[in-house]
Amino acid sequence: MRQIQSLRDFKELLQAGFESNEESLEAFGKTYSTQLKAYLIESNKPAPDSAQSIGSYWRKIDPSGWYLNAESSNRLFLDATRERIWILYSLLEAIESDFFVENWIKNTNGLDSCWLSRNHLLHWETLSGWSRRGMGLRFSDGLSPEENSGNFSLKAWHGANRYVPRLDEILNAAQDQFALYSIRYQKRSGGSISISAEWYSNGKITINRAADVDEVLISIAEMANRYADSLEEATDLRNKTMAPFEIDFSQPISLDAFSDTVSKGRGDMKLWLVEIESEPDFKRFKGIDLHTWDRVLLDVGPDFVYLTIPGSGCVNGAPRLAVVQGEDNSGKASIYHDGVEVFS
Amino acid sequence: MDYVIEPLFWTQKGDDKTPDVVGSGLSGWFVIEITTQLGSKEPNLESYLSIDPRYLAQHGLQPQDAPPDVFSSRLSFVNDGPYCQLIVRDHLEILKEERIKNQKLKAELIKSHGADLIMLPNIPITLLPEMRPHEIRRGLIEIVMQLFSPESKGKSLVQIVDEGLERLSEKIVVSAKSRLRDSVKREMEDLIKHHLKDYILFNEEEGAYRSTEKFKQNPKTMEKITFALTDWAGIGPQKTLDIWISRQ
Repeated sequence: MRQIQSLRDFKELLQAGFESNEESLEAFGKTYSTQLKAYLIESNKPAPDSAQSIGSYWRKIDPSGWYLNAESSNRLFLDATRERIWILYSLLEAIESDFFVENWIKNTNGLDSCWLSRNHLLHWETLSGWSRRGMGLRFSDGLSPEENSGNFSLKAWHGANRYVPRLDEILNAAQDQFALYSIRYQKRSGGSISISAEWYSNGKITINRAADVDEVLISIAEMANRYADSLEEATDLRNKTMAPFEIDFSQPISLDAFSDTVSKGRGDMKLWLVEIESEPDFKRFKGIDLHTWDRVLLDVGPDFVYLTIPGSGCVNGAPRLAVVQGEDNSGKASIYHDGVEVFS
Repeated sequence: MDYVIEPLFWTQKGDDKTPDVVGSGLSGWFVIEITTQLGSKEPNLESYLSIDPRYLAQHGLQPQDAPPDVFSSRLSFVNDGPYCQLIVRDHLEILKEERIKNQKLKAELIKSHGADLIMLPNIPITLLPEMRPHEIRRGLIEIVMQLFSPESKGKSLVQIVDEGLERLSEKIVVSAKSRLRDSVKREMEDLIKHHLKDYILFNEEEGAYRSTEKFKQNPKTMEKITFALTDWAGIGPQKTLDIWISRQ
């Protein structure tokens, strides 16, 4: 296969994959080309050239800010046309692809996932032509000892709800209490499916079916733009007032387990904190967001967290804390700043 | 309304006055005395009425031609004379609000009366000029932790103080900031000598505090640093805010 040299080459490659999958779906009932995956990445780096690490050397293929991973044999691409939100497109198999992204973010100071809130994930319901086809809920109870943990995990494909009485009611009740970690949407145009995609709370998107490459890229860019707007709005609010970000959860927080995790800087929360005050139902912490090594101050109550980010620190810690803590231990999460819901 | 912390003024007789906070705007100006001491501050508050308002411009504040509104702010009531008093304990209390001349300020304060101050979130400002040694240490914790960033080039004393003061950095008079730098230097010296001596050093050539190569970003080392900082800052299970207040 010839090396991809331009944005147009990249689009043609994707289009060929979509068409091949549609043909094999029609002929054999399944797809054979690797499905396109995209990852929304929050960046504090000026350009991908400054985010190099092993396996991630980026070569520009378009002056507007599109890159090809030089070692990926035409399978990893980066849209860095936005200042804060990059989009990594992958044609690798899912396990290999997730592993690459996880390591790139982990080994590059200043990169983080985009942590999509419930309202971000439900955004497509407000647009015409899109309909929900499924959802994933998660409650790992990750802070409890293994023998006592009460896990909950549910992945439900919609469409046949009418065959089971009260199924909708049960799904809605579960959705109200537990964190929404994925959602599947379908867009129909002219009587046929034009996009079928699954959106994850960690900013990953899987394109299951698609007809038009530009429509796919624009849909993914729409979420990147929304997230960029959310970051800008939250940064602006933080700069103007002394108020913290308030994250409310539907389930209780295990304060001692939380303290134990953050004192060692462990886990996806990426926080390294010192506990400075402790009451039976309240703890106060100071420390570091390991994503950018910016300072953070945290007040943690029975089912809420106040997050204060001094100076010009990155505010991506607020949605990260909401998503990671919500899915791990504390259920549905909402983020507010001075009474205004943000990242929504 | 803009404000300055610990600015120097002269009274009309030429006496020095350095109130804790002075604010001024189009609707008027005010002076606040903040204290945890139990003695009355009435003489201080009275003396602020004779501050020559023309000196406001020396601090970049809106000039005025009338005496200020004067407040004391405390954890509990003490008779400070005929001046408005702000009690900042479990709830915000405004006492003697009828003494406030600035109607806009008065209306806003009355609106805030009763605000819940229990479990008040942290604010981004972690250092203040009047802090005692253990308060300064607490204020420095996360600034010290930043020295362990793989990309850290170290921090000078000036940087450390500016980061702790955050948005107050430009509001605090030069002399108060200089005193705070001296206090921070003392606490940092203690940290380096006794608590994190293998992990942090002061590089004389660069004039900056830096981490040593001994630090590794793994849970065991990070927990060890956490414990050392806790120990240095005098944080233990008994030392909660309420107990600290009850000892005053």
